[in-house]
Amino acid sequence: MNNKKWLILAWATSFCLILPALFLLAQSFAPDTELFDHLWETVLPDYIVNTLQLVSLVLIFSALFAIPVAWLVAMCDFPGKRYFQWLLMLPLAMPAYVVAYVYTDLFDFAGPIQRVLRALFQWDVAVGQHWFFEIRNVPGAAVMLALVLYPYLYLIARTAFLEQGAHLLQVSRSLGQSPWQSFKRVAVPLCRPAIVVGLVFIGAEALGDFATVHYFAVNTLTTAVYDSWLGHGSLSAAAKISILMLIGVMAILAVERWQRGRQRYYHKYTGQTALFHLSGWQAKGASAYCALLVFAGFILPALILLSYTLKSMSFNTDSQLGVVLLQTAWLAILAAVITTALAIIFSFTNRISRQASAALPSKLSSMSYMMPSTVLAIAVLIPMTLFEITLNDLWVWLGFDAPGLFLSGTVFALVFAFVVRFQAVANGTIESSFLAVSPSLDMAAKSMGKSNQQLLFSIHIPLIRKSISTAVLLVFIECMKELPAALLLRPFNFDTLATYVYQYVSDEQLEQAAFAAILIVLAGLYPVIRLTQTGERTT
Amino acid sequence: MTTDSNIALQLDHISVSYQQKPVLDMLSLRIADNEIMCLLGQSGSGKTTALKAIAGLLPLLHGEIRLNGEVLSSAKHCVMPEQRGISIIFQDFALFPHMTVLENVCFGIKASAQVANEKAKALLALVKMSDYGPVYPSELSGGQQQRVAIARALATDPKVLLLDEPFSNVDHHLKEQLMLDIRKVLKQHHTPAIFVTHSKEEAFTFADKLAFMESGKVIQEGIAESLYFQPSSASLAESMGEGNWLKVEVTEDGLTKCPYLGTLPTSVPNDQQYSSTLRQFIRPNQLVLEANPTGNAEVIEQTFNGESRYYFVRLGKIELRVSTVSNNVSLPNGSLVDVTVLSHRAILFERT
Repeated sequence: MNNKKWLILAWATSFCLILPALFLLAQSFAPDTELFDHLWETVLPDYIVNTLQLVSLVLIFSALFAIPVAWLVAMCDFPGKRYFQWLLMLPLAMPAYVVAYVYTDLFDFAGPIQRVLRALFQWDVAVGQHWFFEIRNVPGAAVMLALVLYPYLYLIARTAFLEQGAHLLQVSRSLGQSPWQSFKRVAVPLCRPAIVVGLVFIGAEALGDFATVHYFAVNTLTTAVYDSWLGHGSLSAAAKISILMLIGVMAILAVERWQRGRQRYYHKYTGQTALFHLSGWQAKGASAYCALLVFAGFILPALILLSYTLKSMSFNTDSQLGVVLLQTAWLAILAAVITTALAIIFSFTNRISRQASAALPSKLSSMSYMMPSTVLAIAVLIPMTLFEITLNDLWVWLGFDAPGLFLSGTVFALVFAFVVRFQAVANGTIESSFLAVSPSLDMAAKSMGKSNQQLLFSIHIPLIRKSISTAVLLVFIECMKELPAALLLRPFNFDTLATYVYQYVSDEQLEQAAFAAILIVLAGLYPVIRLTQTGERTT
Repeated sequence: MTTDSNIALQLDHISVSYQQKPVLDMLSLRIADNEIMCLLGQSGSGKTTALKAIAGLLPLLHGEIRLNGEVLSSAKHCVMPEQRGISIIFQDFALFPHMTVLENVCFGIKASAQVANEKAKALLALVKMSDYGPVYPSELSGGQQQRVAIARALATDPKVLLLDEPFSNVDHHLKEQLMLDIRKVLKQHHTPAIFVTHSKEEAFTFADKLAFMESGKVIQEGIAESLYFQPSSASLAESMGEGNWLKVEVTEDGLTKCPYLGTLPTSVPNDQQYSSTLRQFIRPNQLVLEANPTGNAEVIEQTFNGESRYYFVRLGKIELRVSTVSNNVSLPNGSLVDVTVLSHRAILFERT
């Protein structure tokens, strides 16, 4: 294939991947549906308020969790710092709905905490006699989400603090500013662009969360999308609500852009970084705060999951789990292989083409990652059902039996959604590995008369094979964990590992599926470990 | 002259460790009012650590640092960096990248915004950076950043200014002028300063006094000439510029003699006792070459560097480096020459 054919291939596949987003946008111009009007007049304003509250609270809590520990780990010396710097990443592997379940169980009226309190203080057994905080509400959901999302901000803020180096703060102090003034006037303003990027990411994740809020019976835009589609079967109402969410994401992104526009050229300073050697109560406080986050976000939920597993193992070994694992595995492998192959096509085309626009297919296909997966699932359904209806009509007109929902009713929809959603993950990994291959190798191969395909298969792929397996693995894990899209798009009676676990969560029976939940957590640990490793290399 | 009455900063037997390794070992130093002191030494000799200890960024294990009589640091007591009134300028200048030049200079001034602005503008004028107030540091050259860093450091009216390798990130051709300008500014402000470098050229141009450091101690302290002409250690002698090492003996009339050059017109300092096994350090410009077809030395190699010409000459079993003022007549390689030593005070060390 010559360069032109590669370009056509890249553009065509990229176009397929952005098709859902385009159809969703087109949907916003469609006439209003009855259901949407009804929702708009009744509950939707409340849902919007809930959503805004949830997202703002998640951002506030994440900042309160992440920024102090990022500062401590980057700038201070205290007992256990070496371990905390990666332990603090672990909560990323914990699905928020599992954390939510575990804490509900713990703080429930019938849970161990309240039982102990009642026994200790001789409380009345009747419900409502004594006040105890409620976690099944918007602030509760926000804490649960922040507990597992804060590591994104922690990671990015820690790197930013480290890059400032020691000199700026030392100069600030020699100019008469106290450590706190230096933190406020120098360290935080310098780190602000990085903090905003981290918050944008967390905001988008919180906006798209379905499982936690649904479990807490908090109604947000995400739950409204589910109700519209799964409850009322109205794709157009679901699409309209999705567009509202998309506007939310765009607003968050716009804030980030605006911030970045004001960002100046920032130098990277090097040199020693641990400025403050903490001792006494300060050191204890620092270690305790880090330990508390790791404990609350990972260790405690993991321990409770383990105890559930041990308890339920004896009387209920679910044979269904094997089937679910197998289904999830082949689905995830299929999606992972497709995304990685596409990523290779995009990167290779960009490499051999001399046009600046050749980078666009990869960039366009990565954009869907910022779409909440609930929105994405609805977006995937729109072109699919349209295509099916048209084809069915055509078939009937031609006198054949209608083929039915051969796309949206099968795993095809799920695989397609996974590919669209996680293309960015594969693109990122593959692109950076291509950059590490010297361009003079291409010229050498070409000068020896090799074709594009020979260049790709005998030079590039052998050189980047490690990254290829990494990309496959990362996408595989993401697919395994992905819940909202799987819930919306799975065929009847079909479960992935995540929907299987969530089914038990929403039936208040996570104990039965604790082992499956542990599998999700273990799978989630791999990308976290990789993140910490690359983080360590850059520092 | 440094007398007790006009001492600004005094370091008494200070010891500092960094990551469990001793870096400063009983270091003592005195800096007078309005004096610019240079800490000179190889990397790893403890120069930067000394600055950080003075700034209060590192704790002392032993000793005392006093400023105008007040104890700033001791093994038990440490005044916070922000309460010392000592400004520090780093090699990378450490200008705050999120602030304009004017904001950077205003940063440490404790006064109303208007007063701070006035003062900052005056300082920017002093360092010839008046036009750059609204500019961000990333848009400045190394030399310009250096000037801003000086203005910012002076803005708090520091009692002492510390400069850590301040000229190493500045373009070579701007360095000389920048050093003279900044020296003038410091003198105008009557601000005593300590600056750290490993370059003797910078030390000679910028400082009033030099202190040469080796393994955490000051080996020798004094004006540039005394370190250059009367170095107290072989490593200091070499740091002040390359030269030739000759095995010599002291003669009865206080001169030295060596195998191929005979008795040298170099007087032996009579304040020290020497054994018979000595080595003498002679700089290339203390030797003179003269073409002589029957001379006992031979030119084997030469380099030309504009102002001077370097010759490598073989004399018996020894090889000598000789520099001459360059002229357009050179001695060809292979030509025979006479080598004579100019009369000077001998730099002598025991042979090890």
